Amino acid sequence: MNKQELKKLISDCHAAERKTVFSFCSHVPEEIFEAAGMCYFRLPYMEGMDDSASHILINNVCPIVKNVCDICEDPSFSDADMIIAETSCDGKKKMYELLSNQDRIYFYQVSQGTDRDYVRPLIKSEVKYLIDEIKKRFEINVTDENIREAARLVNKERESVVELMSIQKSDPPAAWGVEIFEALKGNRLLPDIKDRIEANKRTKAELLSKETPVKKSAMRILVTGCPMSGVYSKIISTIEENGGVVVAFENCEVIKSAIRHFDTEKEDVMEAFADCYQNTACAIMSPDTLRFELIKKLVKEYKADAVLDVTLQTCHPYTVERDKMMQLCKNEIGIPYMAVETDTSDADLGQLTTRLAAFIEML
Amino acid sequence: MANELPKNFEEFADARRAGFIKMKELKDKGKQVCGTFCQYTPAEIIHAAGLKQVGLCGRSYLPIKTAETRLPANLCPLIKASFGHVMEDSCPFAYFSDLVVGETTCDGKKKMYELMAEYKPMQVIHLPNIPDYDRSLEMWVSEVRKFKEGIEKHFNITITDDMLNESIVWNNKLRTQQARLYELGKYDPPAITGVAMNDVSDGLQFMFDDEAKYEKVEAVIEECEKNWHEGKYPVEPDPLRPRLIVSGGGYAATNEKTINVMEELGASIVCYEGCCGISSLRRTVDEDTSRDPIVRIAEKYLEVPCAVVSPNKRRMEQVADTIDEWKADGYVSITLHSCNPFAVETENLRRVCESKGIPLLHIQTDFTPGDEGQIRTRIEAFLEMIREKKREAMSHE
Repeated sequence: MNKQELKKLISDCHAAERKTVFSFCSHVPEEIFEAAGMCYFRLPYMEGMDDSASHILINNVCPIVKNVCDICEDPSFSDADMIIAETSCDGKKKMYELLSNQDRIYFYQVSQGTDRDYVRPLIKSEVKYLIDEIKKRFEINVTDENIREAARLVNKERESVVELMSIQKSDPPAAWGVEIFEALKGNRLLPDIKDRIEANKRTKAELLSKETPVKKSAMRILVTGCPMSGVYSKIISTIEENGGVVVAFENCEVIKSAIRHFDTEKEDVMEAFADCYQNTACAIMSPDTLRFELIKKLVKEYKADAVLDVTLQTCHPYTVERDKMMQLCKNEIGIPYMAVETDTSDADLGQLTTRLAAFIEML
Repeated sequence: MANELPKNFEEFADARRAGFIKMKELKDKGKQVCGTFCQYTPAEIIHAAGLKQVGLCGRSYLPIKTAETRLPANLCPLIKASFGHVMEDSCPFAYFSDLVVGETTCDGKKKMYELMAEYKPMQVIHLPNIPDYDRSLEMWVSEVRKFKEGIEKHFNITITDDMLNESIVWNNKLRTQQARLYELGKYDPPAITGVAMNDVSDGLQFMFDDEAKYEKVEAVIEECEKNWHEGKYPVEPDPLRPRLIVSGGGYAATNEKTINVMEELGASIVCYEGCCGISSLRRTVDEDTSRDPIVRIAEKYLEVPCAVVSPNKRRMEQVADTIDEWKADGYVSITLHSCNPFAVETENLRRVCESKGIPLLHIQTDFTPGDEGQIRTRIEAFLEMIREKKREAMSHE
């Protein structure tokens, strides 16, 4: 998507009399916006934005933080109605404070862990504050019934992502990992959730209808780590051009966020929010037990031959967690593990290719 | 003629080294020790429990190599040094700590503590991200209470409300006194040098006899004030001398190439803001014993205007006030490499300074030698610019 398309995306929503709300993180409880009839988009990465980051931010900060800064300051984004500034990592939360139009920003508080007593009450109270804020800003009332209805759709969207990913469980996997990642990237930007669900289903059917391009001998790689959208093409293509195939993306654009489920029948919807969002296997959580459990499960389900941990420069949550992830893979699961640290430039492409090719060959 | 430092200062400057021996003596006497890293640690609870508190922030580049066997290289040196010391057992304070307390302040520390727990008994307190009473006090109270219970369990003691109340009063007294130390910088010329001010406030972390500590600081403050009123200033009066506020977090290990150089080149550091600066000292704990002491303690710490919280409006207001009150001519933000919270927030500080009409210098550094020359040159240029501005302002008067 380029700048013109982004601008048009927003103006089309406005033409349909729907407000637009954007977030950059999967901790944000999207059911609320769907329930409010707003167009909600999660943007993990956008190419071609004007550079603002280099004027506002320090240099040694993660490329996603810089990219979110660029998006929010880009003229093509100026009509966006609301930006959810989630307090996930340090870089992002501090960057949000520096953005020029603070009026459309809303800080949503993410907890520091999943297993403390305070976590569930905090999620519930933050959800309530967010609902109040939407009422205050847009005069939209969000009822429990709206939420249940919206959550049914959001659940369906999540399921459609998981189901699309699951086509890789077969041997050989049904598609190249890059095909799935790219399809999801495009589908994610459809303004209507029903269209997104349909698009994911269609992608799945299309990929299944043709013969798999993947050889049986391809090494099955489980990819985990930071959000991948800014670096996916060089990472995945390097894997898949060198004898590997990505069977699953644990990253937050794909499985991590999509395995969550909102219990629409739960009597207290706030409890359902807590259940759903407490279950986020993100490195911001300390300790991140859920991620380790998820990796164990995915290695088995997708019959992975190796785990590749993709981290972005200066992403402290994921880079510091590498040590534990390595211990988990080596000592507990007994699966080959490699970590690469990269950024959105192509400067390290040669080095990445050498390392990834050697890793896959060793398998 | 500038006077020599009062004798009292040397003890503070040397407190960290002397502290190693003192700590061993305390341990030999059966005292228990709680190692801490951060201004968010509720000192009232540790003190009420009869534990000795000591700062564990790493200051040496030596253990960093060891730390990097488990931590990424692109991480703040303080985190790596602190962790490396624990891995190597090379810091006596960490070695003697019966319990280490961490907070989920910045991402790097929060994730590092997970690894540190493999080496030391740890209690990690979760902080709110948003420093707002309505949205965060409840969770924060829950974490402070959990911390108190954790201490009770670990040391097999009971901390009563009376103990907490007593500790609150004592810690308020200490804090108010330390704030007065920074107030000495309001004089013109300042009644204390910035280097000495830092020696005292930093040294306090490593002095374990509360009463004696209080008396010594009192003596310093009184002596400085007395000297000033007698016209004996620590620096020559000079209308062109730049008055600086230094801010940032965890940069003590860089003092020689930063704050010392500023004063050597003729500036006066009149106040410190940020971690260990005036920020934490101006807000005391409510002493109304009819209210739950844990809630009162939590309220104070919720207001710590550290760069790890967002949106950090409280800090920006405080910075603006500090510039006015201390009549600062320039602001220096010292941040450690890869410290996202303080480094990213420096842009917001720059905007506050701009609105106040003073310049800001951002120094990013770490614990290794090599950048002294470059930093010195930048400080020189910064000070010259301020002098020029002052000269111009004077010529208009």
